[in-house]
Amino acid sequence: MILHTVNKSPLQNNSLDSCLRVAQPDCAILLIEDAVYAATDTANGLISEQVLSLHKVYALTPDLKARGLLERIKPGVEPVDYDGFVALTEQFDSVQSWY
Amino acid sequence: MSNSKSFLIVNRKAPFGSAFAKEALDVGLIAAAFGQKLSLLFMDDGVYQLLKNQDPSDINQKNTSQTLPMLEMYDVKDIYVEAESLQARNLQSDDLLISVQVIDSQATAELIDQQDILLNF
Repeated sequence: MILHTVNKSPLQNNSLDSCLRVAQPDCAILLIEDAVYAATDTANGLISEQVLSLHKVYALTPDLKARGLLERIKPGVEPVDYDGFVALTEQFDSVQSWY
Repeated sequence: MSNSKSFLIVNRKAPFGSAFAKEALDVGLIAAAFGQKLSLLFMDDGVYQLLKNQDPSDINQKNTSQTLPMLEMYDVKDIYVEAESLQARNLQSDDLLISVQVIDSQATAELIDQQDILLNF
């Protein structure tokens, strides 16, 4: 089981597309830095209902807060703090960083 | 000022993933302080620079969005946002922390066309 981390905006970089293309259903996705914009309701809607039904999707709270997105996070995406980030890296076998 | 030129700063990057947003604002304030005719354009992820409720204290970065209202003190009133970029992010002008003029991509092209100097961030 792999934890996929993505740190690029979904509207200016294809890191999240690539991640979603290869992520297996038992893998989790953690959105950090500019990738947290994908946790909001954007037009390209990469984090779709289907993605949320296949993967557990997390977004890093300090990055959401920095960008004014705490109130804009999509239902189904779970915010995690830095301790939660560490716990996730322990829980999964390895971490794949899409950057 | 008779020899002042028209400047347009084009902001296309989100606020914290890189230093572009902060540096664009620094350049903008300096140009304004020297009495240049300055306009700002926000498009693509640059519109995220204007979002309300930003608080980067937990990621140890400066809140550059707090400096945006200072532009008005420097008499910078020509602040434009491309409508298509807002739409792609499901944002309205109410979501932004300063008042802006929302223009379509045709008007954006004309705005760029009118300038003496273009600065891209």
